Amino acid sequence: MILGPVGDRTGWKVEGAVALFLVVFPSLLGLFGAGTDLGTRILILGLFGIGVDLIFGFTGLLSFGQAAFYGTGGFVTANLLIRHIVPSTLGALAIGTLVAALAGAFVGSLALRQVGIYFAMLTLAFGQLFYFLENSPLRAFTGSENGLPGVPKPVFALGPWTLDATTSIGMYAFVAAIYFGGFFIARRIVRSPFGAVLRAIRENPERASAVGHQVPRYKLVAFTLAAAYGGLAGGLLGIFQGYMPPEAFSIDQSGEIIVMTVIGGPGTLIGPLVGAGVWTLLRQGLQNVDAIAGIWKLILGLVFIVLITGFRRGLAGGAIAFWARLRAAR
Amino acid sequence: MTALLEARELTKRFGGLTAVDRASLTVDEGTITALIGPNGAGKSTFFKLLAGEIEPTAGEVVFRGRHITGLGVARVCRLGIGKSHQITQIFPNLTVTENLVIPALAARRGSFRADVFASLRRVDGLADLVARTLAEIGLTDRADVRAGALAYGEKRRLEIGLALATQPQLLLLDEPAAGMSPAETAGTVALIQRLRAGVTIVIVEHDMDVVFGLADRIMVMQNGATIAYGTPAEIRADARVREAYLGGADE
Amino acid sequence: MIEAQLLNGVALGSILALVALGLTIIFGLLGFVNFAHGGLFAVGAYAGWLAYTRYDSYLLGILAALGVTFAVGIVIERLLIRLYYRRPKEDQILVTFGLGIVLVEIVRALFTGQNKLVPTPPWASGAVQLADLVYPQYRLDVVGIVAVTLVVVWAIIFKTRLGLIVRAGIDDALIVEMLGIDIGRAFMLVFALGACVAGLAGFVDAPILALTPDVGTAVLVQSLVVIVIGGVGSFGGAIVGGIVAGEIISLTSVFAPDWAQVALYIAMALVLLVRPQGLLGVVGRA
Repeated sequence: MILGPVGDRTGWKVEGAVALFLVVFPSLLGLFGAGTDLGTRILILGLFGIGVDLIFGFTGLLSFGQAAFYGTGGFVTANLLIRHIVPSTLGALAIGTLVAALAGAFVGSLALRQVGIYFAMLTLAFGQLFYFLENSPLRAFTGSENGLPGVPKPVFALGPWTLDATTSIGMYAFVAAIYFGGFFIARRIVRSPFGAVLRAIRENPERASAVGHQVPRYKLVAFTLAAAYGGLAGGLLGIFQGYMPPEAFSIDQSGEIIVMTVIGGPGTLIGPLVGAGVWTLLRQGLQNVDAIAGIWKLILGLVFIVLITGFRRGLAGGAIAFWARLRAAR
Repeated sequence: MTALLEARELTKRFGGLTAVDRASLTVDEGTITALIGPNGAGKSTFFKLLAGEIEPTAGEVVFRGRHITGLGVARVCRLGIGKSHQITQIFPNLTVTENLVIPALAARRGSFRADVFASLRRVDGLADLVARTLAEIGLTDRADVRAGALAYGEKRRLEIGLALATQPQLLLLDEPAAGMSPAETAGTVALIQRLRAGVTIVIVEHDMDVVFGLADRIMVMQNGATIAYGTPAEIRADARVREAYLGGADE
Repeated sequence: MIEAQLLNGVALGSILALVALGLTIIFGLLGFVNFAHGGLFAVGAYAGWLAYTRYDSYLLGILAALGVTFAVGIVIERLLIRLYYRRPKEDQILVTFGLGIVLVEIVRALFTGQNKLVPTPPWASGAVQLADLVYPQYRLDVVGIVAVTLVVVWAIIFKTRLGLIVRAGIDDALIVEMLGIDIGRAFMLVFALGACVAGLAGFVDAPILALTPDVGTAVLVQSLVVIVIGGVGSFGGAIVGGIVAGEIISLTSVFAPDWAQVALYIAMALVLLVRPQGLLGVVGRA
């Protein structure tokens, strides 16, 4: 008898596939005339999205304020590096992630007192709150509308090799390594008993409670984890761009990451990566076709609507389900 | 026999409506108690009070000598009361096995653990509990089916299974045979008979054959209040009960 | 000095109330969360701008804004919205959010992303002296427009058969249908009503805002603040919420300008935590 979700049957195959993909991704991009930097950007959004998938895809919590943590992690990390408070890039990222997680615990402890649409609106309110805090009262630390330029890129000495993140491919490798780490951890989380309870909460929170689980605590931990992922991704964004943008806090950012997760497929962990890829590449690709350059977002909006209405599994989710059916038929 | 559960003068008011009116019940360990009464008598509300789903306006619930009023449904479950609902409440997109894993996880590992890196395989006794429950409710050959795709009768059995997998000492069954065919109902009765050895049961039912066939004690409610309590024979002979049902349900 | 700020808050608040009104009509009567509200606002603003600048008539602008968004409302209700009445609230939020994006992008495609300037109508240009504050005439006129709109909408909801049907249908759709009344049609008309009020707000607000397609998101968020504070599903709530929000912005702008927007969202969060149905709202609507 197999215990646990479908994914449990896969052993390490999914991790292996993702690792393989990460290695060949730059080459794939090259084939289509896109640069490695685009891949890095997609990975950062994909990492942000892993957190969103944890709370939305796995726990059923729709939050419109995740950008608050993306921005918090980003600006904390950027500040630490720019002001040379923490010499190590990884150290700054760790602290940025931790602060974002604390922010997540704080916001979650309040927002999770409500459910459904009130919860969604609370997260939206907090998201906006963070955005305007960045914009005005905290502008000494955030540069307000201008953001924070001058975030240094790291160079790592790994024994005989050097990982030079000032180069495109070096930065990609750095981000890809962190993405893989984040993905690996997320896979452990969702396949754990904790992850099983999250799924139950998504399906029927009242019953999950009725059979003995402290649902509010599970939600809070999940929410905090999602904030951590957002914060880590935000920190990487600043390092990647050499500049931390205030838009990281915007409601548009919160909305976009949800769109990406839905398009890619909620509850798959790789869904956000797929969604981010579709979003970014479509935007990039259509730029070059003059006639329809301006409507990439319109197309994505329509795709989003179609998927929500009839294909809740999203692109990756649908592909996985299709694959599962093929294997079952053998 | 010791009193496992005591409901003392439970009252529940919703605004102007008194759904449960000073209803009391003592349940002895190892017995099957049936709760009957006409529609709107307050049986389901009374059940919800017992399970901790809602809080009483007055009165209290004592379980194994411990006051459990107001503890909330998760705590009450962990203390040993499991409930199967009148309206099926399963986890539709999880398989049957995965459905049973959920209550079993709480039973084997507690109501909350942030064990984000642990493995399901290593939860002590989990596989065993799930397998036993599957066998108990007769869904072993449907173990990997998506719960939402089950037939109605199978869903009802899973519903009971979810309560069973919490390893309760007291099992509350709210109309377990609701909507079932005669054959399925017989199967449910057989299941309850098998279960009685290990768990005390309180059951709400409308089917009088089921009730009189299973129960050691019967509690009759009407308009939120208890109008009779006793052995099946006593209840059968009770004039108030007959009146409440306006011509009687069986015989 | 304080009186001027208070007045400013009322004027600001009435605009916010008008903008939020379309959202609360749909939420209050249909129990439906319409995150496409900002998109409808943008559609109305641009439709009105087109008519206004082409025919040099403010009135035509209003009619265009109302007409176009009413039609858009009918179309999206028939095609999409009615598939969602029984779906979970999260799905309603998501699909209308997507719809909002689509509407904004359509506007952007048709009109390009450049700012459009909508001039104040000549009969409302100039300023009025109120105590020591010089106030734009148009903003005061907007208060009047808002008042008229509120009365008209109130009459439609509470004094017509349509309104009665919808209000009954919220409570028990089955009974209404059994009486032979087409509840689906009633829902469609209410949705379109909410949509066209959003569109009207878009055009009325246009001379005050810089008109870009992206104005929709900010509007949606502000509208949510207003109906949260005032009360979801309550018309009085839209007014009260608008004025409270307006006062919060207006007064904090004086005392702690950096915190004006932050204060607004703190207020929203507080209401959601302490009294989620809002100041005038009814429990159970959401």
